[in-house]
Amino acid sequence: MTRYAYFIDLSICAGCESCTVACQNKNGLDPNLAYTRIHRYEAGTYPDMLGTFVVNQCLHCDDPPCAQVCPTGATQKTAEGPVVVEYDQCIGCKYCMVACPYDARVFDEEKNAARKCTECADRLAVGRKPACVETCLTGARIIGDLDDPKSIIHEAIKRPNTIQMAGTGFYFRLPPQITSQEALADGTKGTGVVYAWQSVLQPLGQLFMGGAAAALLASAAAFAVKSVKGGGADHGHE
Amino acid sequence: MAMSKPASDPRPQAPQAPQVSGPFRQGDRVYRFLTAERIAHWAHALSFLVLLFTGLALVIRGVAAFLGGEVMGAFGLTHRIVAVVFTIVAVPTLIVGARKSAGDWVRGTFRFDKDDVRFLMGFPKDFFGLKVKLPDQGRFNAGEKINSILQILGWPTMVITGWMLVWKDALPRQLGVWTLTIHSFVAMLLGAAVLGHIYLASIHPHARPGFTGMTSGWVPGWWAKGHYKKWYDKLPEKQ
Amino acid sequence: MKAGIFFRINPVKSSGDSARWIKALQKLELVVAIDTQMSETAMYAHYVLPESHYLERMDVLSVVGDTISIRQPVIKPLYDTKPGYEIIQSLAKACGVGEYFNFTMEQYNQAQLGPSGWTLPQLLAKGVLKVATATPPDYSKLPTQSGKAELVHEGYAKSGGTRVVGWVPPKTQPEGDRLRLLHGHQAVHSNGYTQNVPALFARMPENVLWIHPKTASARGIKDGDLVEVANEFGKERLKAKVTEGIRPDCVWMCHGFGTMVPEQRLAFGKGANDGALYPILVTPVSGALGQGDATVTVRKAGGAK
Repeated sequence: MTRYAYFIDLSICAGCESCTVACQNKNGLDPNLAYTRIHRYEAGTYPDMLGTFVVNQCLHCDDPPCAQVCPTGATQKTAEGPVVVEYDQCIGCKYCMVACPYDARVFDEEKNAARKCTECADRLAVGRKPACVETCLTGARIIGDLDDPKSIIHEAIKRPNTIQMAGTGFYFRLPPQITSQEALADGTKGTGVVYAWQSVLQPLGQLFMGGAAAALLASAAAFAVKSVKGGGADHGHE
Repeated sequence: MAMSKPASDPRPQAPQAPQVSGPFRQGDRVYRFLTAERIAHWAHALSFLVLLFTGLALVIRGVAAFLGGEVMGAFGLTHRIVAVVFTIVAVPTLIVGARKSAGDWVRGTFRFDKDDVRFLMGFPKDFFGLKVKLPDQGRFNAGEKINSILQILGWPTMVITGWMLVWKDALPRQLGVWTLTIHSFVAMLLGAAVLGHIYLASIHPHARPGFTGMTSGWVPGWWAKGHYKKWYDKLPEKQ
Repeated sequence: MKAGIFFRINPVKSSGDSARWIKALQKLELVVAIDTQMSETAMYAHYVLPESHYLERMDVLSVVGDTISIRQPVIKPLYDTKPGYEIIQSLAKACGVGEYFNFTMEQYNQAQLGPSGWTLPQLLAKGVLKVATATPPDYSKLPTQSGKAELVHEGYAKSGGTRVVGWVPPKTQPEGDRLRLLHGHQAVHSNGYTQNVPALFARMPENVLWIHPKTASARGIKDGDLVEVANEFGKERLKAKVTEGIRPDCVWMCHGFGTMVPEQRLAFGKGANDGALYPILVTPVSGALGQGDATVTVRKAGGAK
């Protein structure tokens, strides 16, 4: 089995965005579309200000909201971990963009598709690293197979001040004194709404429509039986 | 006032749409729906059916994958164009052409009396052809009032959430998810209602004599009296 | 002085007091600029000799410890450009001293490789080679006599300085409403020459002025406001970034922006040039550019840039 986990050491991230550019290069992205972005988080007051660069990208959720809402099933979670997209199937409805807690999907007008990071699944399949990991200047990005006992990922995710993003295989290491609640996005917020939408209300609505259809068929059948049995036109009153 | 034949033309005149502010009786028939009400109805109904059909393709699992990107793109474009009709035609038509009658409809729709409640309880039997004596009703029976409520509340919901979704890129994420949820759920509620409505209006033996009310405006007097007696008894008689 | 040849250097942008540099260049009889793009300095040249960029040319091989690497062309020049060494060779020939430059870059690199045991074709094939007989770099000590960082240095004493590093007060102080202007770099761009690269421009199209919240509110400045930074050397406009990450008596901007060159269509006019606000100051003894010795006023700028 292969199960990828991804570790990013924000305490040594230089904010150079080489990862962004290497990824754009590998995926043929327009410079204005980025699968991974850096922003600066700051807290405290001078002279005791704390700051860190923060990476924001697709975290390949265990149960991705984007895959849940995709009407065609174009977005899929793979067994190894990466969430990938079959672009032939994408109809550009942008439901995934609305559902993603990390705002990680980008809309490519030319392709009319909502694109995303694939964790370079094609490179992983042939033993290479994703473009972002390969290019990272400080070695802040590490990817490894949790089912490979020799992988360095095991040691990396145990480093101090490392937290696992809930519901994903991503681990962020923060600089000392900065806590995850302040600096990192909480992707668990609002997943209930997606669940209500996809698994409760939409099926319920279809149940109502199906029920109405069934009722009217039953009614039509009842009247057909009545008229076959005889008795004149029935207009429903004396 | 009914239009009278011009003195110089001896030929029988086709029944013309009367310029009236409300329904009336004329001999053995009843003028139930004004021109503006009928226009608004069909604009609303036909655009709704197109919107429902093109919209359901996104909601029912497997349909979008089956139809593919090009067809879905055409559906999406159609949906947005017809949405304009759905948004701008019905309400102004009612206000300009049937202000009093439509106003009465909206106001009366939310008032339920004891007769309405008993009607609702007995209606399922009637729907399936079982014998039941239903209480007298006004211009619209309690079931039609429920459909009217769904339309009066559902229409602005669909219009507002729908146009918000055209600009969903600009919506904060949570709002976007809620908007999509409400839009698809209410669409299906209205879809279920419209299935029942179409069946009753065109197929159900008790209700279908009223179909012409929405085409020519006229319905048989015996049917109007039998189903909407409280309204029928108060109708003005016109020559 | 009558002529200046500027090879891969852009003093108008990066060496302080841009206005004075421009005046100085305009006084020269001959200004020649050799660069891979039109720069602020090249704008004032009589002749611009466009150089091929790094993917189009071979450079002198590079040696670090026991490792040799080479930069070699991977595409033919896209436009009418030449590698820098070819430009120098042609100029030398025109000046009648071509005999000192009558070799190719390949020959030069091959000669440099001699003692290593490798050949140029091998280096071109691999890109990076190790030399077994060379000493690998030892990063455990510094290349000084003691192997440590030296705060006591005889060489400085002999050159007119002091044995021990001593404090020399800067010429300017942030007094009244003036603030010390600081500058530096951020990891997205390289100095002042990548601002027009589309992929990097998309990441960082302009610089912003870091200003402390108290300093900003005293001047009615909010985060994102357009501000004017001025002193006796120049006047620049850029947006403000209100942050706790700076001393209240200082402001900071990233170097390399405020491009004056219209041909740099993306970067033109974006952000501000700190180089326009510093004096041309050469530090005693070491001769480095005395960057950082300037104060500025900052005020909110009305309207668009």
